[in-house]
Amino acid sequence: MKQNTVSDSKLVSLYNQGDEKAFEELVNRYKTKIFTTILLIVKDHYIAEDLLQDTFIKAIKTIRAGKYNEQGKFLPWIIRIAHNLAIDYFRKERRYPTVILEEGANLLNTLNFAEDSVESAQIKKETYSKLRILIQKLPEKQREVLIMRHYAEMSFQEIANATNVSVNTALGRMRYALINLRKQMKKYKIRYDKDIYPR
Amino acid sequence: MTRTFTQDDLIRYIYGETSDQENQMIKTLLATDTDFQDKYQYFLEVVSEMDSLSEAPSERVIQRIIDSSRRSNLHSV
Repeated sequence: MKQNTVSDSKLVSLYNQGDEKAFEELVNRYKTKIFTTILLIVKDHYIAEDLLQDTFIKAIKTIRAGKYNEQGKFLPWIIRIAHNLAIDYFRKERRYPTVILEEGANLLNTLNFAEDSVESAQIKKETYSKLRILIQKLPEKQREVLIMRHYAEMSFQEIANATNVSVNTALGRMRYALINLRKQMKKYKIRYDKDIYPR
Repeated sequence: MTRTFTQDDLIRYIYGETSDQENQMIKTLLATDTDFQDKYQYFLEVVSEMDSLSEAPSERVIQRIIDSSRRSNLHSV
């Protein structure tokens, strides 16, 4: 299994000493996980990119001010920043993660499906879109745990610490999230098959 | 001594958070207990489906982030 040759804490330390390459490595190491996490909360591609930038700027300021807490791991720490910024965005805008298909369509147009046939690319786009919508429709606490565990790769213990609940509560929320998602996916697939192969 | 595994244990197993000892017991159960196997598949399918959902940001925004860092480094000198 490929492992990072330089640890996150070493990179943070090097960055604190002025090594910009160390910061670039951290950005490239985690940009996809952080971006997917934000995108699943805010649903708009351009807003997600702005919030990704805000997340890293906040991280830069914290590290440069010597306030980065070495006790925690870098990824859970920065994911927490990203998550809070994404939730704050909704509170400020007084919006909730309802789904606007046109926005999803814009996002989907940016995805790379070049190697697929037209039909399979369309199926992938639809599956991607539906799945993202289903995740966004989960109750907030369930969605939070699911995103943190699956996309941010935080352990259940780290999630419990970050959200001030017990590990059992975090696990329970994940279980309900997976069960709810599975139920919805099953419904969608039945409808989806009928759409693709109308009788 | 036998141990009963819950749905939460299966979720921990899928995400690689069970101990070596638990892994061994779960593997044995998966090979012998069809009900347990069904429960495992139930969660595994949805988890596998979610793997398809991952997206990288544009290079443009990554460059903006890196530039912000460089600027802040200059200002702090």
